[in-house]
Order: sequence, then C-alpha cells, then structure tokens
Amino acid sequence: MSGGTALTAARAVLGRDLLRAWRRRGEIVQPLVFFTITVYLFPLAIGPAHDTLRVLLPSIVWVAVLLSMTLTLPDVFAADHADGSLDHLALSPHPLALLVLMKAGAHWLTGAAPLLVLGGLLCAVFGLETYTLRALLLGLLLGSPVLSLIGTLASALTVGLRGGTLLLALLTLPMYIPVLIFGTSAARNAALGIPVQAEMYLLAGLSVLALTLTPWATAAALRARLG
Amino acid sequence: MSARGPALRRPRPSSPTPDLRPATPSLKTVTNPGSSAPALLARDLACMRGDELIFDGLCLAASAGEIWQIVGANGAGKTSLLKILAGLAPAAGGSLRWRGVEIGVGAEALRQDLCYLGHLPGITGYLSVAENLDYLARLSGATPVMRPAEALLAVGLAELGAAPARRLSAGQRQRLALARFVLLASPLWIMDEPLTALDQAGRELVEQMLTDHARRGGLAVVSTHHPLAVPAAHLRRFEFGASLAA
Repeated sequence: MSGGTALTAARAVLGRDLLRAWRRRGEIVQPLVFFTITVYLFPLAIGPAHDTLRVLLPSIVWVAVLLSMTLTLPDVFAADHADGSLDHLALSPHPLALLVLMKAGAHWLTGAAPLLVLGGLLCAVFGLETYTLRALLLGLLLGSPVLSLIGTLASALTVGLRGGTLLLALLTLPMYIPVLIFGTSAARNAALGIPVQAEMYLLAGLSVLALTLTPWATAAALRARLG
Repeated sequence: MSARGPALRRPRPSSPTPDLRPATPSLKTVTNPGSSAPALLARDLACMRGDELIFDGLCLAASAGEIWQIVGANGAGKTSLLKILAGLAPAAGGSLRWRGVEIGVGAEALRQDLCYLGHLPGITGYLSVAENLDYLARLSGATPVMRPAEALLAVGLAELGAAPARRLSAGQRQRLALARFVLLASPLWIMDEPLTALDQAGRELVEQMLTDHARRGGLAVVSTHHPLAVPAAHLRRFEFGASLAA
C-alpha cells in the first residue's frame, strides 16, 4: 500500500492535534491559569501557617492537576465531532486504537505536561523540600498518562451528548482516585523521609495498564457513539 | 404506521456500455471487467433509531460505473442508510457486502476503498485549507493521484491554500471537502447531500466529478434532492418511502 502506513496516519493525528492546540494557544493557557489560581486559593484559605501549607501542598497540587485536566478533556473529541472530522477518524483504514492513542498523547502533551512544569515551579515558590518535590513530580509524570488515557476513554463515551462536559467530569474523577491515592501517598512519604519506590512502581504499573487497555476501549466506545 | 418498506430497486441487468471501462489505470476498477457481480450489495437492511423502525427490507445492488442517487422525504433514512453503507453505523438487520466480502461496523475491507462525505464537511477551523486536506488525505491511507495544490485548483480553492479554514464560507468548506474526492483514487464514493451550500458552478463541478468517477469505473452513492445532470447510462435512482406516497 503506497498511500501511507498506520504510522503516517498516527503522526498525522498527533501533528494535527498539536498544531490545532498551538493555533488556539490562548484557550490552552486557560486551564493553566485555572490551575495556578486553584493552588493559590489554598494559602489564602489556610492562612499564613507555613508548616500546614507545606504538608498539604503536594495534595493540593495533585487535586488541582486532576481538576485542570478534566477541564481540557472535552477538547479531545467534542470539537472533532462538531465539525464532522471525527467521522473521518473512524473511517480511516488504520487501527482506530492507535489513532485514539495519539489523541490521548496530544492531550497529555498539551493538557498535562505544562501543568507538571507549572506545578513544580509553584511548589518551588512555596518552598517544598527538594526530595518531596522530586517525589511529587515523578509521581505526576508517572500518573498523568493514566489521567489522559482514562479521560480520553470517558471523552469518547460522552461524545455528542448534551451536557457532556459535566458528565465527563463526573465519569472521570472517580476513576482518577487510585492515581490520586498513590501519588499523594508518595509525596507524603517523601516528606517523612520514607522510600517511595512502591508508590512509583504502582503508578508506573497503572500507566502501563491504561496504555494497553484504554485505546481499544476508547476505539470501541467511539464506534458505538458514532453509530 | 411504524414500519415502511422502501421501494425495492435493482440496477437494470443490461451489460455495461463500453464507456464504463476505466479510462485511468491508476484507479482500481470496482469489479473485474466483464463481471456483472454487484460491487456493493445490501440485503434486507434494517435501521432503527431508538425504538422506531426507520426502514427494513432494504435491498440495493450497485455495480462499477454507477452513480446511485438516493432520494426520499426528510426523515426517510437517507443519511442513516449512507452511514450504514459507509460502515459508520450498525444496521439493525440484514447484510452488507463489498466486493463479495461481508462487512460490518468498522470493517477494514470497505474503509480502504471508501471516500465519505457526511452532512458535516469535516473541516477543522483552526487549520489552513491545505493542512485540512493533507490531514484527511493522510488519515484515509489512500494514494493521492495528484498534488494537493492541483486538487484545490480543481475545486476552485487554489488561492485559499494558506487561509485558515474557519474563514471559509459554507460553500467553500463544501468545496474543500470535495477536494478529497479529487485527490484520492477511492473506488467507492458515499456523499450525503454534496450539493449543499454550493453555487451553480459548484453543482456542475460535483456532476462532472461524479461523471468522471463513473467513467473510470468507480461507484458513487449520493443522496440529494436535486436532479443530477450526469449521463443517464450511469445514473440509478433509489427511492425511499414509495409506500408512503401510495
């Protein structure tokens, strides 16, 4: 077949989503601002007790990451459904699971990776110890792919539904709980000087599990929704 | 009345005329020359929307070099039929064959050969005209038979290649969606209301594209209310809901 391989199509999907994100970077910045404001609300609410804030900070960052990533999930499929290009994704002869994996990858690159950088900067500003900061960031790095992959699945399940945005948050947030538990527990243990390998292995395991299972489920969900 | 059977139309059994043979070698013929087996064969298709039966017992046998015009009242199920034929939606019953291979939702046998236009043109507003065409062409996996710029020229968008697609008018979007059909050598075209928003020149363009496609031995299934000015030798009509009128 000279027309192109599955890899060409996968690159096209990833490149197109990244290009689209770049073209509407004004909108992409909004979840980052939301994230920053959410994190900054806590010092205001808790008060100037510096120690309390330092203990809570990793958990605050984790929750803010979950909420901010939920905000960007409708971008994955809703716009494509509205303009009809989602049909062409489903009609491609290449494996749909691979193509939706690229969509999840684009969501991670545009919706999660900037949050990781910003979260690290905020924690540094608030004076988090280096060891805890590293545990927090490694946990986010290993756990956030799960968030993008599960979010993409939920996004496929709700595509074309009215009021899908809130439903999407209601569907995804409960599924984010395991990642949240292991991620925050790693940061808490790091603050106490306890090794965090166990949590990191578990988060990596969850990532691999989501990476192997959700693309197929997402593809099946999309076909069911488009039918 | 819940169930209504559409008129059952079959193609005339006449042997193909000489001009049906492919003129361009780059395009695969839908069936072997001389073979009269239909390329796209639908048997007893049924379609449900919720609990309501839209149609059932629908039979269609379409061969190479034919342009099938699907006509019917609003809500008769034209779009549903095209989605089922394209493998986008499941049929509630019946079977569908493409080149003798049984196909269902998401079957690769059909998607390799298909170029589809839904009632939305599938244009991403944030990308440029050329980027949109390039993305959809690479997604389709089909071999382009010309350069993208030539396809844009053919549909009258040559000067808008770098323009953001969101600036296009509805008719220009439709032309951009049609550029895919010119660019790729797909044997099966399925078009849902391709004349929507097009001006007179645009309609003539679609008719010319369909005629060329049929002459090359391609098959097109088109839903439209407008009369199609294509050679009668290629045109077949499928009428929905004839029982309604009775």
